[in-house]
Amino acid sequence: MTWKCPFCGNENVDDANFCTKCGAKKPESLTLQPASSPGSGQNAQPVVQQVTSQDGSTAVQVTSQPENTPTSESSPMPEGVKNEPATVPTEQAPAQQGASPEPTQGTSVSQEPSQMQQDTEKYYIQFINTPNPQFNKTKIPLEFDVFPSISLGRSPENVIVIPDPEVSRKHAIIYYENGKLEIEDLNSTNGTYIYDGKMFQPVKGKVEIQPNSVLKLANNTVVKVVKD
Amino acid sequence: MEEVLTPEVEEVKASVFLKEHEEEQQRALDAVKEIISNQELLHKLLEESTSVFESQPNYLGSIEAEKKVAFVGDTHGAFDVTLYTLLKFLHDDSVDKIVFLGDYVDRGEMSLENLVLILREMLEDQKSKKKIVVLRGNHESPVTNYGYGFFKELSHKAEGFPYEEFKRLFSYMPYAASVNGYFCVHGGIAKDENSDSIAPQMRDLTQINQLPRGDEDPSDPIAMQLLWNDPRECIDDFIPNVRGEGTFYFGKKAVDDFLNSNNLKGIIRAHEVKDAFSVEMDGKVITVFSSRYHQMSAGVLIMDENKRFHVLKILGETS
Repeated sequence: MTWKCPFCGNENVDDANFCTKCGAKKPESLTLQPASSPGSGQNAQPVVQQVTSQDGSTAVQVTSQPENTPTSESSPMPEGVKNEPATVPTEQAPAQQGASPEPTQGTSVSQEPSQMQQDTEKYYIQFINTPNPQFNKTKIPLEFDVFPSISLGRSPENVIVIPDPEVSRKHAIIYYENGKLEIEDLNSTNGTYIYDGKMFQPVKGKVEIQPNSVLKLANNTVVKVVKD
Repeated sequence: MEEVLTPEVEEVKASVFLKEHEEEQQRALDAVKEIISNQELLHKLLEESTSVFESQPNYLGSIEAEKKVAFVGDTHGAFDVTLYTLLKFLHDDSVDKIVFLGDYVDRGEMSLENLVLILREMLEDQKSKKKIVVLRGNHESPVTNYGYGFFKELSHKAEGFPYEEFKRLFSYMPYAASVNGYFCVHGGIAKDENSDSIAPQMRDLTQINQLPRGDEDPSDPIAMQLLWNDPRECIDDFIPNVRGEGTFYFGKKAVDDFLNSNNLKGIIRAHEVKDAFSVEMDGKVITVFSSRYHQMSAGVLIMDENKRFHVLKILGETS
């Protein structure tokens, strides 16, 4: 039996816990119980959860997702829109070890908490738009007390897994150094952008970000930096 | 501050209702099929409907309804949802208005039937109670029709392939109305071209009437935004929307500024996939989505006589 990824539609083998195409985590509704009929019952509103696994990596996950739920109604205008990158991504990243059944990260991560940062500021990224609209408004902490830097991408080994098939497996990285937040694009296929108040500008090298900075990862994921 | 009330939700099955009204359902379906199969009848329907839209301004103004009002979001060829709504409310004397918020075509196999049904009922209704309000959606446009199905569907179904007539019809559909203090529009409020603030047309809604008529895409940037913009609770003003150039997300400050400028209570819109509906920004923005293709429930939003909201959640059905 296979399961269909609710984000990109890819058919995955039953024992894969992550989509082999986009890296999204298999919805728990497909593991724990048969997919509920759409719209039935009191809890028809899907629950968006933030899941932190043992190694501290974070992913957003839908727990009661009807099977085959399509992505948002987002209709990038097919013609007439200029300056839009190709909508069909052609990922160049080398095929890795495939979908690992569980996030196996941990060895390379320093577990030394930087106490100073922990006591001072707490930063988050908040989803303004994702291909799956249920994640909108979800806030994810940037845990610099656990990770020296926060990687963003669609494969499970990232600290923050972005459920968007157009986001690269390893897309970008956020640093916290000398009280400054910086983002760097990891040569991603569809780019990382920062909003300058007029338009989204490509991130080249390390670029400082601040609370309320608005970032775009590839074409459809928009996040905001939030400080507690 | 007014209390935020979550609408009461009633779950219904369209098929059960339609079965109880089998005769009316068949009559409506036969009439729609007859129009589609007859080039002359379709031409007449399009001509008369276009005349109705041409006689209306872009902004239909402030409508005060004492009785119930039904709001229908994107139907996208969900013929059963449209038929259910019309059969249920059109001849119900406790209902004053039925507001269709746009996106009748594309994405569904019965787009043409869906639109023809709405236009036919609208023309009938024009002669009597004028209950039906038909607004334009972003899919009433060649920008989407070539890529999302309507152009192709029409080429298969309608003799003479009158797409040019449909384009003209779409280009005169009104963009917005206000009903009982709620601004009704397909997408949302528009940003000023030269600042982060709301557009001048959003401070004085009658200025929407100065936007060009017969604008097919539409190419006017404010009209484009009315049809394409989306709300986002976690931003203040406007930021570019991933839907493409010229489209924006609008935030809380922009909504407050807009509502205060016009002494309005909220915005009722469609355009985004929802499981029937959503309420955002402390009840100031309500989205209703009435389609089937997303495989969730189709919603019909009802404002009752006491101006309280209810949602008919038309459950997804496999057959």
